[in-house]
This record gives sequence, C-alpha cells and structure tokens, in this order.
Amino acid sequence: MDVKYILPFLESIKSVLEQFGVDQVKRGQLAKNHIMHVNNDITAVVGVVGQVRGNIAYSMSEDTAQRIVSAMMMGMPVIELDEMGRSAIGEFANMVTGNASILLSNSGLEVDVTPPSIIFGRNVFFIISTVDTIKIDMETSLGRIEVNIGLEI
Amino acid sequence: MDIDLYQIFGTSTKNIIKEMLDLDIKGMDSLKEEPGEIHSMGVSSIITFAGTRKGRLLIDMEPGLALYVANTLLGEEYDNIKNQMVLSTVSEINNIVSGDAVTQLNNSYSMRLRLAPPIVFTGQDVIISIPKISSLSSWGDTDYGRIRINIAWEGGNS
Repeated sequence: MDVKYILPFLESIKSVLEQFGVDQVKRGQLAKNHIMHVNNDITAVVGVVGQVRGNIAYSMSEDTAQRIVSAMMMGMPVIELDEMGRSAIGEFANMVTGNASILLSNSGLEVDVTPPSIIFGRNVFFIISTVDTIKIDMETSLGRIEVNIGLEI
Repeated sequence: MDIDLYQIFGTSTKNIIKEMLDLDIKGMDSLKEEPGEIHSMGVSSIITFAGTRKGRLLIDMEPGLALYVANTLLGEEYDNIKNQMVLSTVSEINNIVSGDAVTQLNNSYSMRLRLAPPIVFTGQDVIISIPKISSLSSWGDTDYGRIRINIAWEGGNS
C-alpha cells in the first residue's frame, strides 16, 4: 500500500483533533497485519468506495473515547458513553475519513465515504480487508487511537 | 420501492445460502425495527455501500452456523470461530449476498451503489451501534443456528 494513500488519514486525525483544541498528536508504532486483534473497548469503522476502496478502523479505550467526546463538546464532562456519546464517536470517525477523502480527491482520486459502524466489546478479532492492513498508533493527549487502514487499490 | 430496499437483502440471503450450502433458512419473512444497539450472536459481518443513498447490511450468525458455513464451503473441520478462515468465509458470504442485492437495486432503481469491502468480527460481549440510522432486522433459523440480517439506509425508510 503506497504511503500516499495512508498519509491523508493520519493528517486528517491530526487536523480534526486540532479543531477540538487537541494539539499533541504524534504518530507511534506502525505494523502490518492481516487479522486485527483489538483489546480496546471501542472501534469505529468507516468504509470508502471509488478509486480507493477499503475500510478504516479507529480503536480506542472507553476513557479515550470519553475524552474525545468531551473535547468535541467543548470540554463538557463525559462520564459514560451514552447514545449521544456513541453518536459523537461515529461522527469523529466520519469527520476523519471524510476529511481524508477530500485530501485524496485533491490528489485526483474520486472517493466517497460510507456510514460509520461502532463496535463495542472485549478481545475482538476483526478482518477489515481482503488485503493486509497497516496499523498505526496515534498517541494523543486524549489517549492512544489505534488506526487500521485496509485499502484495496 | 422503499420496502424493496430492505426485503431484497432477505431474499438474496436465503437464495445464496440455499445455493451455496444447500441449507434452508426458516422464517426471515418479516422485518422489525431495531433499537440503536445490536448484540452480536457470535460472528457478525458488515458491508457498507454508497451511491445515490448510503446504507449497510449486517449479517449476524450464531457460532454453530458460522462453523457449519466455513466447514461446508472449505471442506475442513474448524471448531473455533476466531479462526481466520471461519471469519473470512462469513465475510465472503456477506460479500456475495450484498453484491447480489445491490446489483438488483442498481438495475431496478439506478442507485449506482458501490460496496466497501466486508468487515467481520467476533469477540466477547460485542455490541454494534450504528448511530443516527434507523434499521430493520429479520431473523431466520437453520438446523445449525440462528441468523439475523439487519439493513439500514441513511434517511431511514422514507
């Protein structure tokens, strides 16, 4: 998978979090996987179709998700992820992927984003792509976000 | 058209499972609105699609049925639903069902739908939430376990 397809998603996480006042976003470890094993509580998956086709999964702990939702709601305390909180995490994944799709469109690739799905659970085994996925840990001041990118190009 | 957007997935699921596995699904005749959260029965696969509208199909199987599907199609004796081949087989079934249903919708209603690749997952206490989209589910029974499909379209069934 060419790096030019991956970078827009990482840049997009940084710019979306910056919109919510989060300025510490660092790229951490990178790995290649086929089956994705998630120990985090929450995974939001968004699909892309068009000249780039695939799924992008954003996994995080419940604490991190609560902090992201709080940042999205201008610092309002979030003590549990209720329906509105879950909806906000879906919206976060949608914003990141939508923003990345604009960056991809700017480089001449026609892409559209599909509705997000939020999956809660422990010890979850995923396959999000028929090809290998690239896993990148994004270290932020709100906690770690594990990004798995599976694109069939 | 509107009810067709949902029912076509039930028909495709029954036909493809029968054709590929010679397995009858009893029931799956009616659709019921789901609350915002769906508790996975064992192995779940989601395909999302986008065109003139956006939506997704969830196929959810009990472990016994997922193992039967993989063992029958691959001619092996898997006994763990976390096995990559079991997950891949359920995912491929969803791909075939969604491909069949979406082709019919595109031909009948010019919806220009394109499919994202399927995702498939299994784990402990798995709950699936699709925010802001109302969805309809249909349940069926087989000799090897239950199956549920859940269909959602952005903008609901209006």
